Amino acid sequence: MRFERLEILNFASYYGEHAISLNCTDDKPAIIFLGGTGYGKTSLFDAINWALYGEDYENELPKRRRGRNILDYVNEVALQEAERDGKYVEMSCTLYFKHDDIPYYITQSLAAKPVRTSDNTLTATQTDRITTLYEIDGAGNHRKKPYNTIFLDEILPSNVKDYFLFDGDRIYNLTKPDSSEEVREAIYRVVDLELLQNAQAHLEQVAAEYRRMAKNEAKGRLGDIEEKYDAEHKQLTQLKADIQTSRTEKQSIESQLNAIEAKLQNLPDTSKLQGRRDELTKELQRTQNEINQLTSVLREKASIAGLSFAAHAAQMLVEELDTKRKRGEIPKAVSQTLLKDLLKMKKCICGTTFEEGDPAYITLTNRLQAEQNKSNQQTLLDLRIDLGKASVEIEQSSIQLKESEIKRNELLDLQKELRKAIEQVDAELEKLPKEDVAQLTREARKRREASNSIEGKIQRMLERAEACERRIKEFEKQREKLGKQQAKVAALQLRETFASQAAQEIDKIYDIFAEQSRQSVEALTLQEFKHFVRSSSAYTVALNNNYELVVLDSNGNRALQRLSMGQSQCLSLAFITAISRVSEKNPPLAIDMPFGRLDQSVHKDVSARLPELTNQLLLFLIPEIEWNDVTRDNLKHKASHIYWLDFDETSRKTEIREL
Amino acid sequence: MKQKRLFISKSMQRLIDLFKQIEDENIKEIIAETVMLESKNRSSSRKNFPMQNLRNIIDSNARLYENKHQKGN
Repeated sequence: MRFERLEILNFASYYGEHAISLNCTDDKPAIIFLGGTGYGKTSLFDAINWALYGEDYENELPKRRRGRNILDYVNEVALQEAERDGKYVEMSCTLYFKHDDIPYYITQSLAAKPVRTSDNTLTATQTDRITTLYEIDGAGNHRKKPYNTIFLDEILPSNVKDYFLFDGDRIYNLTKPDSSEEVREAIYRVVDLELLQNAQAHLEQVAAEYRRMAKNEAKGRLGDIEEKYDAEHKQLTQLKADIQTSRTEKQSIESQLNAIEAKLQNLPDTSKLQGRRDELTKELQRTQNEINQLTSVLREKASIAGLSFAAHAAQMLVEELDTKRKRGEIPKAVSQTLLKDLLKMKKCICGTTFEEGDPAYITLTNRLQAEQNKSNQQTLLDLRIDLGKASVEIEQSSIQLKESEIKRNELLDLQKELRKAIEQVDAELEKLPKEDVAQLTREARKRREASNSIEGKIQRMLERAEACERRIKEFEKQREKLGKQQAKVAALQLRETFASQAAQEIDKIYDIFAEQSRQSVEALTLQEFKHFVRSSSAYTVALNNNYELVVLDSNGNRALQRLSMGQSQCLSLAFITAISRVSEKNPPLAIDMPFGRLDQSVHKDVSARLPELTNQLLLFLIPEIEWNDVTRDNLKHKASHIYWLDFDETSRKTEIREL
Repeated sequence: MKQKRLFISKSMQRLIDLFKQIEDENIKEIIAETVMLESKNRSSSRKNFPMQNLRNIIDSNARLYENKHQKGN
C-alpha cells in the first residue's frame, strides 16, 4: 500500500478545499509536515485515519483526542458561514492510494447543520454521512466498490493500524514496567494470534450448541451420558477460563515484582545485597531445572527397573531356550503359505490332484500343523533375544536409578541451602535503616508469595482439567457406542466431535505459533535496537515469556533501568518497527511527533534509520524542536515533499505551503 | 484484467505449515475454512461474526463424511 494524495474539505482548521500530494520515490520515501502546536499537524494525521477507517476511527476519537468527536472537526469558519447563509456545511476527506499497483480512493463525507446551544455556542449536528470506495481500472474508469471492513482487513486491519499510524507518545509508553499487556497485545494482533484464538472460541461455541442439541435429543442411557458429557465440558471450559485469569494475574504480579527488584538493584545501599539475591535466585532456578530433568529420567528408569522382579525368571527362560536351541529342537522357519496354497488348490507340488480325506490331503495337513508348531518355536527364539536385551536393560536402569536418586537428593539439599541464603539476604535487606528500602523489600516479598500461591492454584486447576479431559474421553467412547442406535443423535455427535476436535487442534497449534512469533519479534527488536542505538552492543534485548521487554547486560543481569531515557525510547521504537516487519504488511509508516518526547541524544540515529524502514514515511514535526539541525541533515535529502503549515490566528485558517 | 496476487506472509506460511501436520483431513478442512472466515471478518465485533457460516462449514464437512461412510458400507 502506498498513499498518493490527500484531499480535504472544511476539515479542522483547513477551510475550503486542500489537496496534498503524497507521492514519493524509493530513494526519497519521506514526506514531512512542519507546523507549530495547534497548526494542524495532528488534524492531517487524523484526516488520513478517518478517510481509511471511517466510523471505526470516529468511535476511537473520544479516547484518543480527549473527548472530541468527529463533528468537532467541522471547520469553524465554514460553520459560521453556513449559519449566516442558512446552509449546510460539508466536511470530507479523500485518500488516494495504490495497493498491489491498483489505484483506489476512499472518501468519508458528512453534511452538518449549524446549531446554537443554550449558552450561544455554535455546534454542528450531523445530517448526512457517506463513505465511498472507488477503484480506477486500467482504462481509467472509476468503479465503485462496496466499502466494507473486508477490503481494509486485507490491506491493513483496523486493529493493527496502531503499529503503523501512531503518535510519539506510543514510543514513550512501551518500555514502562507495566506495559507487558500492550506488548503482548501488539504481537497478538499483528501476527494473527487473535485470529486463531477467535477461531478456537467460535468452534467451541458451535461444539457446545451441538452438545446441547444431542443432549436434548438423546433418550434412555444415552441421554444420561450426553448430560454428563455436557456437564464435564462446561466444567472444563470454566477451568480453562480460570487458569487463564490466574495466569494473567500472575504475570501482572511478576511485572510489578520485576519493577520493584530493578528499583532495589539501583539503590546504592541495596545493590550489593540485591545482586547477591539475584545470583542466588538464578542458581535456585538452575537447580530446579536440573531437578525437573532428573525427575523425568527417574520416572523413565523406575518404570524399567520396576521389572527387576522378572529379571531372574527371564534369565532362567533364556537359559532354557538356549539349551533347546543347542539340541536342535528349534528348527528353521519354513513357509506355511505354500502348504496352505496346495491345500486350497487341492493339488500336490508334483501335479497330482486330491480331495479332502485323501492320504495326500492328510499328509499335507499334518505337515502344516507341524510347521505351525515350528513357527511357535520361532517366536520363542525371538522372545529369547528380547528377554536377553530386557534383562540387561533392567540391570542398567537399576544402577542408573540409584545414581539419579543420589544426585537428586544432593540437588534438593542444595536447594534448601539456597532458599535459606535468600531468606537471610531478605532479612538483611529488611533490616536496612532506610525506610523505603525496607518497604520495597517487604513489597517484593509479598508479591513473591502471591506469585507462588497463584502458581499453586494454577497447578491444582491444571490437574482438575486433566481429570476432566480423561472423563470426557471415557464418555466419548460410551456415547459413540450408544449413539449408533439413535441416528439423529449420532449425526449431532459427529458435528460436535468435528467442531470440538478442530478447536483442540487450533489450541495445540496456538502455543507453538505464539512461541515462534515471540522469537521472531524478539530477534528483530534486538536487530533494530542495535541500529537505533549504536552504543547498545553491550546489551541484549529479550522478550520474555510474560511478553515483557527485558534488557540484559553482558553478565545476564537486568539492565532496563540503566538505559538512558533516549535508549529506552529507542527500544520502544525498535519493538514497534519489529512488529511492523514481522507482519510483512509493509504499509506507509505515519508518525505524529516522533521526536517530541524523544531524547536529543538519539535524534541523529533515529532520524537516519526511519527512512530505511519503509517505502513511505510520513512525519509530522514541530519546527526547531523536532526539525532541528540534526534531523534536518538526515531527513532533508530523503524527503520527496516538505510541507509547511501556516496557521493564521485572525482568520483561524491553516494554509499548506510546499518548501 | 489484472489478477490479484495471493500474498502469504512468512508468519502465515508458518501457520499453514503447522496446519499441514494435522492428520485428520476433515479437521484440516474445517480449520482451513474457519481461519478463512475469521480472516474475512477480522474487524467484525464478536456480536456480528457470522456464526451461521461456521455452522454450515461443520455441517457440510459432516455430510461429506456421512455420505462417504454410507457408500463405504
